[in-house]
Amino acid sequence: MKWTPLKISLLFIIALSQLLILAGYLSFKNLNNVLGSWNNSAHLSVYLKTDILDEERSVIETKLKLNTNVSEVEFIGREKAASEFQKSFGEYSAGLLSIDELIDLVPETLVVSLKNNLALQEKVETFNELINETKNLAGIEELSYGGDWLLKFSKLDRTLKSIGAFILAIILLSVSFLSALMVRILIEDAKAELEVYTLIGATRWFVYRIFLREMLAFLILSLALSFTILFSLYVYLKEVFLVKNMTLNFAERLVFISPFEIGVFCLIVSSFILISSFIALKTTIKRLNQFSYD
Amino acid sequence: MIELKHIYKTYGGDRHSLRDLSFTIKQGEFVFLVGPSGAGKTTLFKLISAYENSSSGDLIVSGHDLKTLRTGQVPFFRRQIGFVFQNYKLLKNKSVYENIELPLVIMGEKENIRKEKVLAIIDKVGLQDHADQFPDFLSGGEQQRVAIARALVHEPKLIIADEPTGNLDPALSDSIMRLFYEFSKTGTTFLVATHDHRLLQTRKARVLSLDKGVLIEDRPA
Repeated sequence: MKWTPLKISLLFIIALSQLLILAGYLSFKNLNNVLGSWNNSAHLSVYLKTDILDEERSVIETKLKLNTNVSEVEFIGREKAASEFQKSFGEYSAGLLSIDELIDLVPETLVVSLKNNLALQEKVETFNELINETKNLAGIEELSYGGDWLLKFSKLDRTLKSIGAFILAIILLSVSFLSALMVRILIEDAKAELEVYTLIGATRWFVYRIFLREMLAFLILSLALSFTILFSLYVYLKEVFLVKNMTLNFAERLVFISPFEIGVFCLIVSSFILISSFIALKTTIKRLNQFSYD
Repeated sequence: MIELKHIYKTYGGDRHSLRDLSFTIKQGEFVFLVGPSGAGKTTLFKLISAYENSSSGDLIVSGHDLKTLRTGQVPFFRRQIGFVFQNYKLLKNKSVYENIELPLVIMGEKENIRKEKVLAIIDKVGLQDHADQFPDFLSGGEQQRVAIARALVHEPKLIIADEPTGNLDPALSDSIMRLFYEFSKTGTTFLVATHDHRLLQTRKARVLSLDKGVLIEDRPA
């Protein structure tokens, strides 16, 4: 393949188009990831009465575990609860009560975690269900999961995901159109060459083979270019976020596209470009068959 | 080699591009096709090379009845024809050698045979020193020689040349025609369309004159 300025610029345009899709997808994936990890921090705390009997605690635990959305019920004894309470206050803890003094004040707790694959709304519903099922059981002081915060977060989560998906769809559509257009320009640029091939008796498959092989080389180069740029950007941004020490472990939660996703992306893009090329070639050859030799 | 019987070609409505054309060209004949612009020369070439179908009449080229030729057979049929054009139609991203080699590649010839044939024809058209050059670096006459070599390398039975000297000065035109005459001795049929009546003086050849789609003269050699 001879690299003309047109081919080089089209290669960059196609690579940048792919980069746009990949960057859009990566942002969407990480947005989901971050929102999901915040979402997973939602727990139902069942505060137990100080005089609760072991049997009563066992009944509560069994009842909670019966719900199929529950993944874990962790018992937090007074000592652990007091120490965690103190730990969470960090440097201010010096002015607080000692653990021995706190033990009498902090209740024993059952911390209920739900399965990670549940949407936030489902989590809210499950928590409400659990509260209704257990609130009248003996030995429970209070049940709490920060409902208001979770509902607001649920709305934010849904809005962000919908906007993300919408933007991704727009990027995908416009970039697909742009790539198809680029392929068309490439084939149009090769019209003179196609004309000669038809003239000297090349079969359609002979011509398809030549041009599709060229498009495949084009595709591999553009994919390699877009993935290299994306990965460099990802590493750079992660470093920047780490240095800036962003809240909620944002940088640590950032992930790159998995090998499976890379495979699926390459497959879809390759099919799209090759099918576009095939259609463009077919129509161009058809037009050339009615050519004017003048 | 070429047999036309009552060929008509109409483009929409009553506009006849060719009208009741009948003649026969034998294998190895050298024929000039003359006539003013719009006489129907290019249309006739399109019919002979199966780019278009006639509206009515019979056209047989190299034993193929073009009316019954299926789309899939057209490329194989065209391999029996060599084309030479005024604007050369060379591939600019391929060297002289690669341009000439192209018909043999398409026919699936082995590399050693291709090399042998390409070098032989390059030698005949006098382009030994330009084999590795690209068309843009050649003069008009040299480019036309490449086109002629490409048209002849696979030893077709028929050469169709549409104004092959249209872009060349008289001296170069004469040298191109000499090449044609040289190759016609091998039994290849030549059908050469030209405006240039001076070329007709360069050799005794049959002349078919077209005007407004009608054969007005068939002058034997």
